[in-house]
Amino acid sequence: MSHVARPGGPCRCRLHPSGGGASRSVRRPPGDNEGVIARPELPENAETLFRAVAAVADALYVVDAAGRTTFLNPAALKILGYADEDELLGRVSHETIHYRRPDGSPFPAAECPLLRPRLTGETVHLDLDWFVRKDTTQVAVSYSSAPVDLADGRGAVVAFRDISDRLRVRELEASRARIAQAADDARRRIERDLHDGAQQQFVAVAMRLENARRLLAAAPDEAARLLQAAHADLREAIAELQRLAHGIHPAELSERGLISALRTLARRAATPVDVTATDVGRLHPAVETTAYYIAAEATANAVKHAHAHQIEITLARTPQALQLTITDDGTGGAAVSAGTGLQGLHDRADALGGHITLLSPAGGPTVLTADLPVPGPHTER
Amino acid sequence: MPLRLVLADDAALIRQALAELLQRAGVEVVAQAGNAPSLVRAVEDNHPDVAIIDIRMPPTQTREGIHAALEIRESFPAVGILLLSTHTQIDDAVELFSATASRVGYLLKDSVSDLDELIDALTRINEGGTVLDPKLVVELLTARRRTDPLHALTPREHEVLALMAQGQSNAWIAKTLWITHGAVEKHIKHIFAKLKIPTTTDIHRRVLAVITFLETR
Repeated sequence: MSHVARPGGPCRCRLHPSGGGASRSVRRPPGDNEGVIARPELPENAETLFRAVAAVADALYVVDAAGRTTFLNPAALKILGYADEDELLGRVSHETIHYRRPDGSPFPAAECPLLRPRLTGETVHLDLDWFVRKDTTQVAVSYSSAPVDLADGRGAVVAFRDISDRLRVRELEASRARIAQAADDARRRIERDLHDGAQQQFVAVAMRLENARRLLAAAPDEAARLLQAAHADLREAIAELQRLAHGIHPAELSERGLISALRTLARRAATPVDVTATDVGRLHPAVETTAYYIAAEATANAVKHAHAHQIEITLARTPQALQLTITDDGTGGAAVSAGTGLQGLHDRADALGGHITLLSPAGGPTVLTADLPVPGPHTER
Repeated sequence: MPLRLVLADDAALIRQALAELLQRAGVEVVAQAGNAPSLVRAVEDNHPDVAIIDIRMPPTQTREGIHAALEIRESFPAVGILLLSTHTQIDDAVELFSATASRVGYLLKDSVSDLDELIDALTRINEGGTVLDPKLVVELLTARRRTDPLHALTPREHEVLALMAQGQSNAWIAKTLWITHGAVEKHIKHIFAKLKIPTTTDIHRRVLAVITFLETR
């Protein structure tokens, strides 16, 4: 028989080397005495075809009628994290690389879309699925699985692609869209607060002043009473503006830094908050702002949703990162899910290259940890 | 003789309104400044009784006012200092009070629109007192703590503590609460013992001790 040229160097696809019909027997892997793993042979025409495809495709493997891997190329080995094809050849592929879902639950073979081509003859394409790598981590893949006639019946050929990078890009795009949306929502809220709050109060004051002006000559006592009321209203409006401004960005955060701002947050909280902080110095404004809003949101959630009696904020610094932890003794059960403030914080941390970890079993306690990379000392502001 | 003042605020509108308000009360505004360097020059030229200084001024709009205040205190210790802030910042007040001894005050701009409150503060500073805005004291007193040493105080002691934090004298506290001078002294003794604050009769040091305690309790 004639072999087609082997694809690039490292391909060690051990297809049966001999020619003709002699290749029907079942060969055992070298060193494997009592054949736990039996590797069926491929018909010669299939072998030729797969070798040709393997030279161009990203990653490819073939399963026989019994679902056992009979062929895989170097790209497939690499994505799956194996060094040697012998670790996979002859083993049932679903039980080796596809037995677990990303949430950790088992993936029953009966529900496996990859097996359908073998059973029904259809071709299956999936944009997102997860394979289990040798080290048991999972890798996001897209694949096409098509039926193929092998000597012992219908098998399937699976071409797949590692889409981790694409997923990461997709997640970043989604996160960026959510950040933009959150900023739009915040602007709308500020507009509404200004309009319904401060502006109304200022209008009322203006009307009182006008009224007082008209009464000044005829009824000075009444005018004085109105002026006094206008003065009181105005002070209330100023306080309202201050609360609003503080909500948009607390001045002490930029003026005195994170610890000072966190202490003020603690002082004004409706529940006792302890702040424990090593002197983290001044950090990049984006890090300080993100850390502050994470603490503010976690504290607000602890009070509002978890009904906590005690909240602890700790702040520590490593050379590379700022670690912020908010612990509360409330009812727990918090989750980072769409539309929550936590999702927004998660996105913000993500945008800085950091991350948020949330542990919140039902019944509590809730521990939220944020790790934010610190680009280096920030002195000039 | 009327009080002589120098006013520093980069917001001309506020400066003008404040000057009009003060003049109405018979206070003489001898100079106005829109930034820290011209404030220091104005103090040097006029030697006022008190300088009213906005904390946020150009170029960075952060703490120029505090730095200018400390510079003035260093070069012209006889000039009283009243710092104005647009928002409550305990750390600013603590920094100011730690670096200076008496003849000093910290008020929110909001409180300044009440002429009686403003004149009272200026008078007390000019007489060597220390003034802390009651709103800041309220914020310090109402901060929640799981095990709060303040719970050990009686309601009356709580009132006395608040007035001490504002920089009020024993005589003034007695008058405000309608109690005798001796009763005030007794309350203060109890407060200091219960909260384990080092005892001092110096009003300025007393304010600093009380607000430091309240902030870190």
